[in-house]
Amino acid sequence: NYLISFSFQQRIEIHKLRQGDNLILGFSIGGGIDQDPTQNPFSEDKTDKGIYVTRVTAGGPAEVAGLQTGDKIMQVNGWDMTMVTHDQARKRLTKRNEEVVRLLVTRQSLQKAVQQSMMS
Amino acid sequence: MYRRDERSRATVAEGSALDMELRRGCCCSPAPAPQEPELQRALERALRVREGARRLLPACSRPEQALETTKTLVLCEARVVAAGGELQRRQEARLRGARRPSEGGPGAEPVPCRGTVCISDLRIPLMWKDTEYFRNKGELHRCAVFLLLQVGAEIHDTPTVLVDRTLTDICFEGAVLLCPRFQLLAHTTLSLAQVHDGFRTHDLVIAADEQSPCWVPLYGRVCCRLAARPSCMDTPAATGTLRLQAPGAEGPGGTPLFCVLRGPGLLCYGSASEAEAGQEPTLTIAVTKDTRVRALDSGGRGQPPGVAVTNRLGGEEVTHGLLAESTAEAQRWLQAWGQHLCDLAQWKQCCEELMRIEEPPPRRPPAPLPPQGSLYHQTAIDPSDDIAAVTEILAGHGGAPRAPGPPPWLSLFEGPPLRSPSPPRRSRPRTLSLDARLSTLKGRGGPPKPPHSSSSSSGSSSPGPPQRDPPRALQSRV
Repeated sequence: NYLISFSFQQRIEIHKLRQGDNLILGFSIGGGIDQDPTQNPFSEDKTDKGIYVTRVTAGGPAEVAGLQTGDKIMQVNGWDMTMVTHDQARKRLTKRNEEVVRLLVTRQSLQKAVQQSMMS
Repeated sequence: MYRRDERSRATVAEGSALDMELRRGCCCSPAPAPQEPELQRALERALRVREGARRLLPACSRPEQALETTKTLVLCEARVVAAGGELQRRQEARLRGARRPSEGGPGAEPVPCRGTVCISDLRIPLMWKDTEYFRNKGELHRCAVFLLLQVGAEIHDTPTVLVDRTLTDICFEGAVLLCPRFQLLAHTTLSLAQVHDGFRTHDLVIAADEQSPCWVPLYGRVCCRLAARPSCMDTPAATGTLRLQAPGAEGPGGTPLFCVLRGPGLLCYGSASEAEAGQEPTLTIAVTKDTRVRALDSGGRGQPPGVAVTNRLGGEEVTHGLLAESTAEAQRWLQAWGQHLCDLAQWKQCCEELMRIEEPPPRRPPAPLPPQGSLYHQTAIDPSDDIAAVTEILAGHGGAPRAPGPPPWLSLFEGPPLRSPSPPRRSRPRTLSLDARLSTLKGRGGPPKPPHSSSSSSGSSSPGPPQRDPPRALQSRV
């Protein structure tokens, strides 16, 4: 038995859901260049100040689109997210005139599973 | 690329409780399997996403939305079947083979080690008919294609690629669009024999024919690089001190060496520090699947316990005797050899050389523009202008240490449009815009801006002066 580790970055297209006056995506983010990177449980490198997905709402637009907890968001609609503050990241995701956000994410969760199983 | 009405490929026993659950398409989770929490979670998640996608599909207003949702549905179906089937299989295995030999016992069969596998550079050649290729009228044949890759209970997908006659190959890197019903066009199965540290071509088994509505003229091959790195190539099976017996000698004695059993060899160093320093080993004994190992028993002749390693070199058998410090040590080494030879036998060609495993591309820091490459240098009007002079000006004010991030002079080329240019400070004429900016630079003279405020390309307001606050770990819902 062996597990696969992929070199693809994932492109994820989330169609926001209208809830009253708001457009929601159904996930939470952590990270940013103004945040403390050592508190990020998902990053391999603890100096990584990138934006990570910390939670995905069950059945929400993000989950349906394939976003997973632990994903690192590299770009949103073409804008770089590797060198932004937390607030800039939040703003880029929640533009009121955008119904669709196209994310470029890096997924490392599967690699972690392989390393953990090799150490056990 | 699964047809919605196609029979599943995983083995879910017909008529079993799980099978009935899956057929009903029930959104309540199947019988809980507390022994397999991860698989259980994966299955529940796939069922949830499938339910969500099913509800979303009729509400899709645009074709791209419908396409992606259908793709998600196909993937979820495959995941549900795979995870469910795997749970079933493990359950049955548990019920059947209740008594398994305890792992790690002296008489136990060694289980081959795990490894990392990576498939990359995927490319599927197409063979368009000349009638299609040169056609100018009528509907262009177009469809969206993605790959579904399955290993055991794991399902992965690639992004969707739009295929039309402008493509000679389907390469997987690309982007989306167009018709919401997927059909399996072809499949192939790759196994250990196909693992190779290079680009290889494999045959595809074509499922759809020309009459099918979603037909694509596949040439019949897929190219990719399938690499694997077993953990026995990275992690040593055993390390420790052994004495190398002189050939033909018996009894104690021999050179003590720090030995590391890893990958295709037993590396023997003068000391542990040499091994850690990464120096060349004093001696390397080749280890292949044809290597034979036996125990050297401590007999009455004062023979210390150890391991004899025999290789066949050029028709001759060469045996190295390695003496251990104690029986327990010899036992430990013997077990490690057993495990390692099992790994080599199972992983075969993957143990000959270390294969490169692709890593997801690292986070790219913003690339600073080198002075020589600046666009403004290339628009200098007077040919007597040269790069060196301008660089000199910039360097004169660049004496201050640069903060990490975009170089400070980068901000010269952003910002509001120019007002009236100041008179040239040098005898040689320059482009007006550059000169006006340079005079602004001369007026500044302060330290370069911190990266916070200079990366203002987004247009959103920066959070103010650099903080000295204690570090925070904010989370935001979006």
